[in-house]
Amino acid sequence: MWFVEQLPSAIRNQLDEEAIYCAQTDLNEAGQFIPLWLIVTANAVSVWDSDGNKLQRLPVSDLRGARTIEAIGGGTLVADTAAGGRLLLSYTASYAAVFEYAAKLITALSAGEALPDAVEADYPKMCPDCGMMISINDSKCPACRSKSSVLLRMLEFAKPYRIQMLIAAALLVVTTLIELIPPYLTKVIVDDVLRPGNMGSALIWLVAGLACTEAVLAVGQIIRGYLGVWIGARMMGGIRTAVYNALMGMSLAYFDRRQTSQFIGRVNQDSESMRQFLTDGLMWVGGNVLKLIAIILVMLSMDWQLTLWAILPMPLIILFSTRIWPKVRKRWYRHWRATFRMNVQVGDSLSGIRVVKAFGQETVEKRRYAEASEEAVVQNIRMDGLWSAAFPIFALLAGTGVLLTWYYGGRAVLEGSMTLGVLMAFIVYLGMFLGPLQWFSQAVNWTNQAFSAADRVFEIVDTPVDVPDDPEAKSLEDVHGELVFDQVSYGYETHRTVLKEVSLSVGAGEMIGLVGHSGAGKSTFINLVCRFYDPSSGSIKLDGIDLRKVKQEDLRRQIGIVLQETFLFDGTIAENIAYAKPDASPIEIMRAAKIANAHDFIVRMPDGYDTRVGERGHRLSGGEKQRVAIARAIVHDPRILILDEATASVDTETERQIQEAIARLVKGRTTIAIAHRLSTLRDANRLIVLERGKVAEVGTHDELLRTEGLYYQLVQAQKEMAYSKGSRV
Amino acid sequence: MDKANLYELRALVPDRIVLYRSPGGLLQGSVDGIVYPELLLYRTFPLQHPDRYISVRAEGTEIGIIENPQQLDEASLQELRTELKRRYFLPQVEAVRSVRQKGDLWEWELDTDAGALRLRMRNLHDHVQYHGDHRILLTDLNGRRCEIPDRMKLDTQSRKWLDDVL
Repeated sequence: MWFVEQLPSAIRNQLDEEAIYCAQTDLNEAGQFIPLWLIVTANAVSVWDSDGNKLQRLPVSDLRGARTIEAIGGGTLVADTAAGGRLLLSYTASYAAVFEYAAKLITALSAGEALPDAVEADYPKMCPDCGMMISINDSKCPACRSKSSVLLRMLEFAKPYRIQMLIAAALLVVTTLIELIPPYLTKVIVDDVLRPGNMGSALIWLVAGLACTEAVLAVGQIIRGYLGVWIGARMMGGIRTAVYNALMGMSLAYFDRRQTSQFIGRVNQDSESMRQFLTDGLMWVGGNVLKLIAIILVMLSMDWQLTLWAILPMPLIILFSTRIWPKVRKRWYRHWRATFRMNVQVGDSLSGIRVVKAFGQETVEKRRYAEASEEAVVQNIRMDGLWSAAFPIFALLAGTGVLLTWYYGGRAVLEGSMTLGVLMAFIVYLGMFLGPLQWFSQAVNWTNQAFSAADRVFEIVDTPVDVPDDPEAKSLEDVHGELVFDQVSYGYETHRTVLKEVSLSVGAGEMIGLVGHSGAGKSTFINLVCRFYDPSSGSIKLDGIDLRKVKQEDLRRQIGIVLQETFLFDGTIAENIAYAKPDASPIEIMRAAKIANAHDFIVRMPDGYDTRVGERGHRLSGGEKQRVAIARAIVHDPRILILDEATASVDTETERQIQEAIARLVKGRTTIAIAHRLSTLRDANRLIVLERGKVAEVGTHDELLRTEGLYYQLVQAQKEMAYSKGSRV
Repeated sequence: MDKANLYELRALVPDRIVLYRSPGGLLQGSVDGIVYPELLLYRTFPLQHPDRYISVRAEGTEIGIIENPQQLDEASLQELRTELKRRYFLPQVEAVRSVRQKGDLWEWELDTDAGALRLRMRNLHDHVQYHGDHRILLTDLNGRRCEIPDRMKLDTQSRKWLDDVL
């Protein structure tokens, strides 16, 4: 098998029977980063070091099972024997999944049960090039990625605008060359026209020529600038949309594993860095390289010896530039961090202003802000100080080239071996070319940033969708709403199943209440019905059709959800109610709100249904939000309704109103409801009690009370709670 | 244990605790005369007071807190230290070999008491945590952590690397 091949040959040669499983840990018994190996065969579990020394061996017949003890930054694998627990090995956190599985396997082996399947995804991913571990957030090793392929893919985004880009590039070449003409004309004027006794007829033409080139140059630069902006904005829009669309296509599992906040940055900043590189960056670097080469060629053609003197300081400038930029970056970073901390401080104390005031801590907060501000001031001075020193030094270095030119060129003019015009042209050309040089190493940095941004963007675009639409997916028209769970198992991580072989059938129009401790699998159950995830095994059927065979859009159209944490989008109340059906008429919206017990409070607000809610809008109370959400579900008119703790965290009166609204809403719909307050499930046709991912009890409220099982205990516990709460008030 | 005690923090008397290791390598011990076949130790203030206020647990419930393990007998103290070191895997940095920016990642080459370690970070501000003036906690992209107990006690070369970036 694939994992046996990884064994060091020193161990493999000593194996006398076939390994069922083996795994590497990264810690030895003394807690050093030295790998050890765990080998499981049909008869024994053993631990080896890389040199092939057997450290431990336990016959399977002695074993009762194995387990992991989670620790901080790692864990230990322990085998249970008749004589007590025995420590097999320790590992760091990255190997937790591997040994979690190993424990399961050893337990199954010692009990003589069927062995669980090994999953390669549980293994820490290693970069094949550098051997470093790759984090779960990255699909590729971030340090070893091919830059050329990234560049090609970035250029893909520029493809739709290739005509405009070609025009811009052509203009770039032309304007660069035109820029070189004026100094040359100056030379001609000085050398050939401005001579005593010259009639000056050529002067007017040359000046006209100068004017012309300046005019053409200006026009060319205007067009190029506009094109650059146009292409840039379009391209950035394209990249942003590509990323956003890819994100929207991802399953919920993708977001579970990542911080959502990082995406906001990715979508905006990364596309901006890419755009900057593709438009400004490429143009700037291309234009300046071209200019440098052209200038050097022109200078060489005029006087090669003087050219050498003139470009003598060039290596110095490049050297200085490569030295100074990292320092600037570092200080810039420190400054950024100080400002960042200061902003966090403001945000923190302002959003917690009630607490600050209530505890009378204004003075402390003021002092903390003053400290953060002072730090920002210091860093600001350090950064801008360096900045303001850097440019004069560049100018000085560039100036030495001009000085050298003046001295050696001037001597040549005095000796008569060179004309004054050539000297003047040299001076002007020098001024043109020393400028861009100081920015070159910074351009390298920009390029790097763009590449890493592009990489992150492509990572999102490339991620395969976990819950794909079947190509032969059927569209759903009218649905009765009969749901059948057949031996459904699911785990968010492959080695930890949350739902285990749940079988259940829910009739059309039936209301089911899901009950159980937190972590029993209630939410997972609902997530599977919505097909936010696909079951690891078993199937869920809606009207006899496997959910995997149904178009997701159609499925979601049949499902309405009211969650505990109601999310209202930025917009008016009417828009929020009509979220799933944007063409709903005002009458429809009001009717829904009326059923949801929301109409009255909405009408009482000054802006009525046009009240803005969401992030920046009017603040609705929790109960009000709930009822808006219920109205939203009513307009949606789903066949299947999911209520997740819909009445938690509201007062009794509001709860009653929501209850009423819900009672009207569930009529005739297949409903699955989760509630901690068991009293809210009174109307349910059946209650399903989940315990550790399995269906423990099924029945009506009364039936379950009579059997005095798990449900009975839950109800008792709640009564006790209510009692103790009541007595305290 | 009666119910009232569940809500009361129990300070353990050092004289009445004995810690030792089972033949299988697990921590065992007796507290107030009761023998526990498997004990787990938790640091309650892992950063501020790593060596004090140790929570002793068996089968998921807390038996009590050892306020100052120094008062335990020598053998028990030794076992406590070994166990904490194993449970709180936090290599101590002995030298900084280099800190470099590679692409958009910061790469740290470190020597720790557990061997050479290479960490990668996306940025410094999220992954470098200061505790006091000289103590630094490093966390990498994959969640691996290590600690610089006192940056002033590092050799000059290491300090120079740190000064460059921090």
